[in-house]
Amino acid sequence: MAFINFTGSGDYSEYRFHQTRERRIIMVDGSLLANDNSQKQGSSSRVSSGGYWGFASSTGSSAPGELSNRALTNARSMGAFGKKNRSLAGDGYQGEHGFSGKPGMSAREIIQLMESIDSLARKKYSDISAITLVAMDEFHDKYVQNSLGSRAYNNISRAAFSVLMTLKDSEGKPVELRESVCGKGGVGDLDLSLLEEKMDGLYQHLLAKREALPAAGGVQTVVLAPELAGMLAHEAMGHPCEADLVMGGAVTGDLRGKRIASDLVTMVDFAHSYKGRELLMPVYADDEGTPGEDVLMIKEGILTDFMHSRESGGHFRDKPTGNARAYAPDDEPLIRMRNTAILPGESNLDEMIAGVEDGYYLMKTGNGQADMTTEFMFGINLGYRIIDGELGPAIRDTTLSGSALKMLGSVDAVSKDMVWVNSGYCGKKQPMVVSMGGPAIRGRAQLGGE
Amino acid sequence: MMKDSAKKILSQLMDSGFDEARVTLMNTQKDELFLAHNKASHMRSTESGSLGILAIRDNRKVTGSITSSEPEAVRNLISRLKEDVATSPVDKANAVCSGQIGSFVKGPREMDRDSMIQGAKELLSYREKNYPGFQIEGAQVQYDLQKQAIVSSRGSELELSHGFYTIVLEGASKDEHGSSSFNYTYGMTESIPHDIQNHLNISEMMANSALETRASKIDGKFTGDIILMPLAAGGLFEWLFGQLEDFALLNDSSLFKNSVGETIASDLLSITHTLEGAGVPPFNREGFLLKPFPQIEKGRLNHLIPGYYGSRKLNLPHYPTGWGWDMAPGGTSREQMISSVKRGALVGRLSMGSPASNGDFSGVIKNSFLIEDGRRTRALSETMISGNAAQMLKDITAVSREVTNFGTGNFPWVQIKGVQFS
Repeated sequence: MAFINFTGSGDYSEYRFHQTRERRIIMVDGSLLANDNSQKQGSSSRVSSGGYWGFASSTGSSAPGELSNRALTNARSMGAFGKKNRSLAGDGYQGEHGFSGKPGMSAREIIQLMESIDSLARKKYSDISAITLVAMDEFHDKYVQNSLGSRAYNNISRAAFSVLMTLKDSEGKPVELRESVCGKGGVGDLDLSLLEEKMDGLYQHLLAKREALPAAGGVQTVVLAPELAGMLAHEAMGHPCEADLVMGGAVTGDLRGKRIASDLVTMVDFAHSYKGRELLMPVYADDEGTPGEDVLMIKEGILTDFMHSRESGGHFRDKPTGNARAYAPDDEPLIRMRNTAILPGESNLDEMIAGVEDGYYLMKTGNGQADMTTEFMFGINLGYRIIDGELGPAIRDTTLSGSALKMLGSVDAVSKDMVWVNSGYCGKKQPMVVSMGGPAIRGRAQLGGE
Repeated sequence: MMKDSAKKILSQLMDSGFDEARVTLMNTQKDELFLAHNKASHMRSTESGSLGILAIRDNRKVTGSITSSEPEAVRNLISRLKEDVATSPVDKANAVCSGQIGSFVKGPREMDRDSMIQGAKELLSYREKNYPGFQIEGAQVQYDLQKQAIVSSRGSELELSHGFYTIVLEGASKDEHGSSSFNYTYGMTESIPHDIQNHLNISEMMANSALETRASKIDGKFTGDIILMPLAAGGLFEWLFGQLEDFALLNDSSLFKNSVGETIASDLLSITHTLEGAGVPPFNREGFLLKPFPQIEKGRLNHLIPGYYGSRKLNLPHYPTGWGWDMAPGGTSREQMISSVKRGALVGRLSMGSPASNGDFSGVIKNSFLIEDGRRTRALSETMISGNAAQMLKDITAVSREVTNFGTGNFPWVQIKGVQFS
């Protein structure tokens, strides 16, 4: 099953056949906590009728016509809420976009690799109290058809291998740090050749963090490493530029065309490619069968465009951008980011740090959240104090937060680097695989601490 | 019927050479009515099946799941598990549930579509009449019917048909002063209440949100009290429970690994594992029947709560747990709690990462109000708090009489002293 003989119903309709495969292997101190494979597949139909959506899905053997009828019935039952006018924007798309990587690594090969890493780490870093290794990959195949003539196949696949090291501080309390290698495809596609070097670096940071001091709370000058700038792009301004959140009252709704950041800041949600190279989460057509287009959200500090579905495109009289994505076979498409980045500038990271008299260099983050107000936060797991342009002691786990508008308005340097990562999940009603990219940036934001 | 299918698959696994196995078959039917941007939006009907297997051979463990239970798909899964199990390390802690027997029916057996539509209309009309500035970003009224069977090679046979409703509301306010922070609430019920706004703190959330468009920063740093509303308190207790479960115990990062029988929190804190609540099933995913038990009594930690594997690996007693946790109410009213605070904040939501394994945390307080001289004053923005989660458990100074029922347990307000604001 993949594409079907599609028959439309209602004012607009679409059909999706969706398969996912996920593998997760977790080893804690040599004990295998998980060696798990899961596969899901299902079909869904979404129909628009009388201004309302109806959706139906099944992981069983429901015929496409049956699902379509159920979706139509659901849409019509919404008539109980009265008449509603709605226009859906956009065109159809036809194309097939797969990914062919290296041969996959078997569970045996992955577990053997983990055992050798566990043994190496215990030999080299004798004072660590625990080591946790996680290997995961996931593959999403989607076949989307709609009444506008779309017939699109997209594959998204990504893998990550992470190492979490723990050691105890002088009071016997645990101190942890994680390093990940992530990329497109399966675990076999990851470049793990630099893992040992990365683990050496992680261990040195861990030793520094064991002696860490609390950060000074309050507004501080911070240099964000590229990995964090990608998170800032995603959380702080990415979410408030999702058109459904704009319709829900996000402050960005009143700021289009206005300056919201320093002119050093340009931010884009790329559909599939950057500088001619395919990105980590290529979306050539979204799950409404809309062709993927790049969205220039901030151009040299000016808020320009929002990310759209067909519905929000109709509402704002904008072109849909191919951002409507569904995570699982029983999910309907929502406006989600794809490959979101702040574009590189012309500064050098070392010089950016050297230019700070008193501040912080923030290197690793665990997670982040955003708000309709553009107030953001993300956890900082690794950072160093900067004193007179030099890196000083490590700081304890803290949180970076503030208004994205103020933070981005304060940016006075953007580095030449560009680092992309795709190891986490974005959460917005459904999880979603996304990638984030960025250079290092320097600005002012609120840091949690004493 | 479902149990018979699970037993057949179990037989296939044993015939394939596995020593032990557990089979879980699930079928979930959901009907969901959605609101978006203050209007009715769409209705969904989804049906999803799943087959989950845990299988053990020569003390090696493997797990796998698929969405189909068609014979060919099952044969393929078993064949893959046979290949993969050989790759797992030998571990005598691997085991499946034993001798767990029961058949249960809980909650409504059929969806009441009319009451779902009525509940959604009530929500829309309450917002429009009372808090027109509150923007419903999304809301859903949902009915789930979950059918499940778990069987194991150690004689466990469990069956469940579990129906319940879920209500979710997410949104923020926008008016001439600006936008408020986003907020949400959710919970499970056995039926859709006619006065939906009086449940899950919905009316309180809209009322607070309307005031939060005029939020401002605090002046300077200070040390004060916080009063956590239930969803904010949830973050603190999630961290605590994470410390008592498999991962933290196995990787030796739990602060409470050796604290059973000791006082880890204020004597105002008592938490019970409960089976009450519309959303709480009678057995857990590992296939163990659940019992209510006091987990924390007047601040004393009664048990660690590893899963079955963790308990065998670490030679710890096994107390199977599920979704339901109840926090005992205190003797202080919410008004008394506020009036006792010299300087601090009433906190609706905490935006932060997980506290570090040593308990240190800092986070942004959202949907929160400054308290000065015993009075709740203005809404706060861009305000951070920091402290240590383990210490905060000890620094609880009051627990409210009033509780909110979220369908998986009751939660009160919790007052904590000595928190750093910046």
